[in-house]
Order: sequence, then structure tokens, then C-alpha cells
Amino acid sequence: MTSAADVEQKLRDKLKAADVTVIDTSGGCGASFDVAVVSDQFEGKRLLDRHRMINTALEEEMKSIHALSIRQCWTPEQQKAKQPS
Amino acid sequence: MLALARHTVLQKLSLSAAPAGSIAVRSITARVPTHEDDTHDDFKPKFNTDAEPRSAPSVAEQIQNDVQQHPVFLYMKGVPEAPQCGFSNMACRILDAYGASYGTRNVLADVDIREGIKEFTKWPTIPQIFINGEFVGGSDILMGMHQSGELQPLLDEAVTTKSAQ
Repeated sequence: MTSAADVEQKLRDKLKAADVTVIDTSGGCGASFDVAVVSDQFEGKRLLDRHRMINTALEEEMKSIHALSIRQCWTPEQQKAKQPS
Repeated sequence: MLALARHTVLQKLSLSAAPAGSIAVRSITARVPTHEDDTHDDFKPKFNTDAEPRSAPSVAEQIQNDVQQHPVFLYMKGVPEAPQCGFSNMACRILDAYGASYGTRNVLADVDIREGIKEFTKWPTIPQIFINGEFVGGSDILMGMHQSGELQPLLDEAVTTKSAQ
């Protein structure tokens, strides 16, 4: 079973993500996650390519994940612009 | 009146007199047909499991045809009127909001397409949206493009392309 912590660790390692939020939306079975990722590797990449990077980083986990909702995939600059605080 | 009653009794008798055992045996043999029992191709059972799996190129060809013949095409679970997955539903409702006409294929009804489309796009999830023959992404991307305003010009282009043909 895949846990939210596994997914978060993978995204931090493979995408050198600065900020990762993973919510287990499966209700316990570990097959459904909601993720938000901030990584400077997204710089200059289209939305489609950013999603592909996340899918690739989670290739192993995707075999048991049924639904992966990618809520945000921002560069650090985008995150700063969208969340001024 | 008496004659009618007697007729009914006779009918009941003739029913009960039927050899019940032979019927049961027949139904059992009918339930397990084998290829050898049949003498003509038309009468041979046609199970999906017996069918040769469709080769990868033909699935890819079908996908090529789908997305080239429709400016907007959606691979989804269920049908637009009754999606069988929240993400597929979201994709349909977004396209509906733009009044876009789009073709769809229900991957739940075709396991070859269901696996084939994932291989074709190297994308692990359903739904998958194509606009102008090009893979756009899944429902999150469609929602993102809707929110950022990128979707309208892309759909406009698809409609223009279609009417120009």
C-alpha cells in the first residue's frame, strides 16, 4: 500500500521539490491522492510536461494508485506570486 | 363446464407425465457446449476470451482515427450523459460549459482501448483529452486551462479547423 508519506518523499527526491503537499483522498486504501508540488524543475515547462514529470516520478506508485489529482505544479516564483505572504 | 374442467385436468396430467429427468439432463448438456459438439461455424460459441487479442498497431490506428476525425475527442469512463468516474465527469462538464461538441470513447467498454490509450500517450490515467488531434492532458489539466483562459482559444481553433474542412 502506498502512503501519503511515500508519495511526498518520492516527489521531494525525484523532482527536488521545495514544497510538497500530499493528501490521501482514498479513505484508507492508499489508491487516491491529491498532490501539490513546487519545484524549480518546472521552470520553462508546459503544464502537460509538468504533469508528466510527476507521473514519471511516481511511476512505481502509479501501479497501485487509481486516482492522482494534481492540484498544483508550480515553480517557486509562481508560488510566491500566487500566495503573497 | 364439466368438459372444460376435465380438459384442464388432462393438461395438468400430460405436463406431469412429461419425463422431467430428460429435460434436466438436456439443460445441463446445453450449459457446457464444446466446440466439438457444433457442426457449423455459425453455431460455435463465440467467447471474447477465445478471440485473438487485437494487435497494438490496430489500437493505435483506431486512436489516430478518433482524434483526427474529431476536433475535440475524449477518452473517458462511461458516456457524457452518465460518466462513471468523477474525473471523467469533470472533463465532460468543462467541455459542455464551452458548448463544445466532442467525440468520446468509453474505455470501460473496451479493454484494448483502455490499455492502448495509456500506452499511446504514455499517460497513466483516464480521462484523456485531445484537441486538434493533439493530446492535451487529463481532467486536472483541462481544469487548469479553463481557469487560466487557455482553453477558449484552443477550442475556438478546433471549431475553425473543423468548419474550414
